[in-house]
Formats: sequence, C-alpha cells, structure tokens
Amino acid sequence: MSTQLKKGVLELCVLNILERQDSYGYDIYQEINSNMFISESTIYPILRKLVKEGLCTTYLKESTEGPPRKYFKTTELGDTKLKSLKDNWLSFYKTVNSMIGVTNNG
Amino acid sequence: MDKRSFIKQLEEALRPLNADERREIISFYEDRFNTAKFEGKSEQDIIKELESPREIANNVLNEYGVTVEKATPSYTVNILSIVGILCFDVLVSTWLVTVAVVVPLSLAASWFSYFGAFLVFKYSPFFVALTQFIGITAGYVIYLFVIVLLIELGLRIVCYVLSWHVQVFTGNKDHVLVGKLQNASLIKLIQRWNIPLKTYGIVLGSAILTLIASVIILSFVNDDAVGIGGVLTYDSVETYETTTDTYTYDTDSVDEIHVNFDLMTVSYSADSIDEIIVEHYHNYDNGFIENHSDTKLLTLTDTPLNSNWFESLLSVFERNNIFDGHHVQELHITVPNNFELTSLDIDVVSNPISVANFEGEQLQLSGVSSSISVIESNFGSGGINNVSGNILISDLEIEELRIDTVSSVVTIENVISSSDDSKVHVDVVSGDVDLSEVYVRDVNISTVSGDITYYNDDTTYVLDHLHISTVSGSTSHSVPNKK
Repeated sequence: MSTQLKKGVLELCVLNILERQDSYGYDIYQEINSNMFISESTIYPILRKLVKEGLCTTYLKESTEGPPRKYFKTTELGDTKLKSLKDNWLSFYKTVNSMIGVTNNG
Repeated sequence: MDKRSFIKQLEEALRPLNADERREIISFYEDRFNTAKFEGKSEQDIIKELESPREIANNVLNEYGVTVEKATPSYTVNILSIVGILCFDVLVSTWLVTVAVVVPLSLAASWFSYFGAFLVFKYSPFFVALTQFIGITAGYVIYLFVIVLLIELGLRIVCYVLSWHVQVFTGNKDHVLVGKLQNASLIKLIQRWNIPLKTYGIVLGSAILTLIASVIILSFVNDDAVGIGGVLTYDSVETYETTTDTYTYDTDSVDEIHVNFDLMTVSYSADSIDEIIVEHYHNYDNGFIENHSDTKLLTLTDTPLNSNWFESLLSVFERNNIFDGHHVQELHITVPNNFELTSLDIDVVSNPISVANFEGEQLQLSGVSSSISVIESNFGSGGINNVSGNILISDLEIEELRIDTVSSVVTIENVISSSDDSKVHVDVVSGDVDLSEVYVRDVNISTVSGDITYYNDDTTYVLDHLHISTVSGSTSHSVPNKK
C-alpha cells in the first residue's frame, strides 16, 4: 500500500487499537506493522497529535519486564472521533469502490 | 554510534520542531532504548533495528507537515565569521595545523628506527644485547602508544579546524562534512578491531615494567660491556679491584674488535702475525692503575699479510671516537717488525701520539692537540701538521718529512736519508726548532717565532740546500751546505 494512502488511515488504526486496549508506543507500532508495513517513526508523531487534540491521554504503567512505560488510552472525545472516522472511512471506501467499479459486497 | 549520539543526532535533526514536540518524540526513542536494555539487547542492536536519526526526523517532520526543505535552516554566511576565521588561519592555523600534522607523522616515521635496535646484537655480549633489545622493544611499544595518541590529537585538531571552516564558509552548521570530520578518529578506527581495552592496558603495563626491569638489569652490568662499541663477549667480568679480568673477543676478524673505555690508557700491539695483545690500563682519579692483558689469536690464512687489519683497527678507533680525549688518555701503537704497514694516517686526535717502529711508505699525522713523538721508524714521506704540542722526531730513516703549523717546540734528531733527494721542511712554528744529527740533502726552515738550532756531529756531511728564513728568534747552525 502506498505511503500516502497509509498515512490517511493510520490515525484511525491507532485509535481503533487503543479503543480495544490501552497500549504503549512500540506495541502499537508492532501491531500495525504486523498487518501493513509502516516505519516506526511515523507512529510517534500520530500518537502525540492524538494526545494534543485530546483524543488520547497518557499514563505511566509499571511493567514486569522493564521500566515503566507510557501508556495511551482513548478519551471519550477519542471514542467519538473513532466512530466518525470509521463512518468516514466506510463511505469513502464505498465511494471509491463504486468509482473504480468494484462492488461493495465483494 | 551509541544511544547518546543517536539521541543527540535525532535531537539535532528534529530541530525544526518546537522543544515540546521534540522532547515528546525523543522520549519515545528513549523508552525504546530503556526497554531494550531490560530485554538484554545492546544499544547497538536497537540502533540497528531503528531507522537512522535522519530518516526518523524526515518521517516525523512529514507527519507534522514540515517539509525537509523547510526543516533545513537557511544557510547564513556571516561575513564577520569569515573574517574571523581568516584571521585565525593566518595567526593560528598556519602553525597549529602544521604542528598537528608534522609532529605526529615525523614521530611515527621515527618509530621505524626501532629496527636499528637489532644492531645491539652486533656490538654487545649476547645477554646484554638481549636485555638491551627487550628493553628497547618495550620502549618502542610505549612510544607507539604515545604516537597513536599524538596522531589522534593531531587528527582531531585538523578535523575540527576543517569542520569549522566548512561551517563558516557554507553557513551550514549541519553540513554532512561537519559530522564526518568531527567523527574522524584513529582510535575509533582501532576500536573496530574489537580488542578489549584491558588488553591494551596489559600490553602497555607490561611494556613499562619490562623497560624498568631491563634498565635495572643493565645498570648492574659492567659499563664496559654495554653499548655500541663495547666488548663483544667476555668470559668473566669481575670488578676492577682485581687484575685478572679476561676478555675474549669472540670475533673472526680484527676489525670486529671494539673497545669502549673511559679514562684509561690503551695499548695495542702485535707481537707476532697471529696474535694481538690488547692491554687496558685503567687510570683512576686516585692514581690506581690496573693492567688487563688479553690475547687474541688472529688467523689470516687466506689474506696475504698486509696492513688491512691494522687500518681497520684504526678505523674502528675512529668510528668509536677512541681518539677522542674523553675516552683515551694516551694511545701507543707499536707495529711488529715483520709487519708491512704501508701507510699510517691519524687525524684529529686530542691526546699524545707516539709512533715507534713504523716502517712503511707514508706517515701522516694531522690535527693533533697534544704532543707527538715519532721514533725508530723508517718511511718514505711523512707529514705532520696542525699540532698544538711538542713534536719529537728521533731515529728515522726517511726520504721526506714536512712539518708545518706547530704551536710548540719541534725537535728533530738522528735522521738519515734513504734516498739522494731527501728533505726536511719545517714551516710555521711558534716555539723553538732544534735539529741535530739530521743528515738529509735539503733542509728548509721558515716562519719560526722561536729560536732555531741545527747541529750535526759529522761536519763532513754537506747539504745540497739549507734554507732558513723569516725567524723572530735567534738562529745558530754549523752545518755545511752547498748553497
């Protein structure tokens, strides 16, 4: 998948992961990276942006196998944003599919 | 690269971001390092996993909508800085860079003189030479460390000066060359061999200990046996309180005999063709004199009897400054009767010279700052010049003798000629000139500050020429001559 396309949906993917479970930077990166290749350094600015926009908050959590890690957790605002992003994505997905002649039901 | 420089470079590359944003991003990477440490990974492992600081910065800046072009600070070339750096160049760089380059390199080159250390085996007894060699080797190992440090220092100085120039002239503090230049290091290059620091410490430490040990050992070894020009081997060396020291020169030819003396009288003589007796007289300040006598069998089976060995002996003397007054107080050379020495040439000697029983073609003594005596000899032509002490010539059979520039007394007695064209010339003498029983065809004495006397017992002997000129003192002679 091209970098430009990936970028647009990364925020959605990150929020989606965090809605399911609180997580820390490297873990989020690894989870996304296992599905589609991204570079680690693109994740961190996104995380920061999410915090800055109030979609996420952070807290330190002790870890058994290392130093305390900075965990990310979605806020209510973040959950709302995730929903709207998902909606956006779906309608975008449908629109593009119909434009390029792929039926939505596969 | 380690964690610190990684973070530093990242921070540098993220400079377009504001401090908060930058800190945030960096904290992610610091977390990565910290976590990895717990997983037992080294900083190097993590750095390998991560993108380069530059790539990370590009990605991050893209996410923030800052393009790399914008990220790169505009290059400002500051005229004032350029003027400053030019002044610096004229005043400091010219010599600083020269010193930083030339000194370490010339020292590095001089290190190769180490291979000259093998020479000690030629000039010293084996045990002594071995100790010297080990000591010298240890010294050069230490020297190598010093050289490496100096080269490193020089390289750093030069590279920093260069990188500063790049920064000022391009106006770009982060020019690629800057990082490269500032990272240039001989030691970093050596570190790539991955030899633990401990090993270097052990090598350096043992070199220092070895050097100290060999110096201590050598200080117990007799001085005469140490150093270039020392005796080669010796069976036993006892203290000089005894007179039974025996030195055996373990050599195949005479020109390998080296004698290194300090304040002693040396006498070399050859009584027979195949034997050389070497005698050392130590003259101590308290007047105590010792005599060491050594015998060396000389085999000259293939070589026809000639003066080669003698000349080489003299050349050894010269090489080792034996003629230098610091080493020898007096030198007597007695040539064996059955020895065909054709030429004896002694130059620049500060001690008395006495030549006896010399039979050859030519005798040349010059630059002697002490007295000279030539007795009971027989040679074709003799030249003695530039002498500060008295000259005594006695019992000679010669063709020609020229003496000039003497700042003391010249005495010539009992000289007979070996040809019809024999002559004695004495020129430029500050002291008196006394001739007696000099039976040669031509006598010429000129430019003398002292008195001149010339008497022969046999008044029937008539000289072809007697010429005396330019004399400050009195002249008296009763020698008949044709002219």
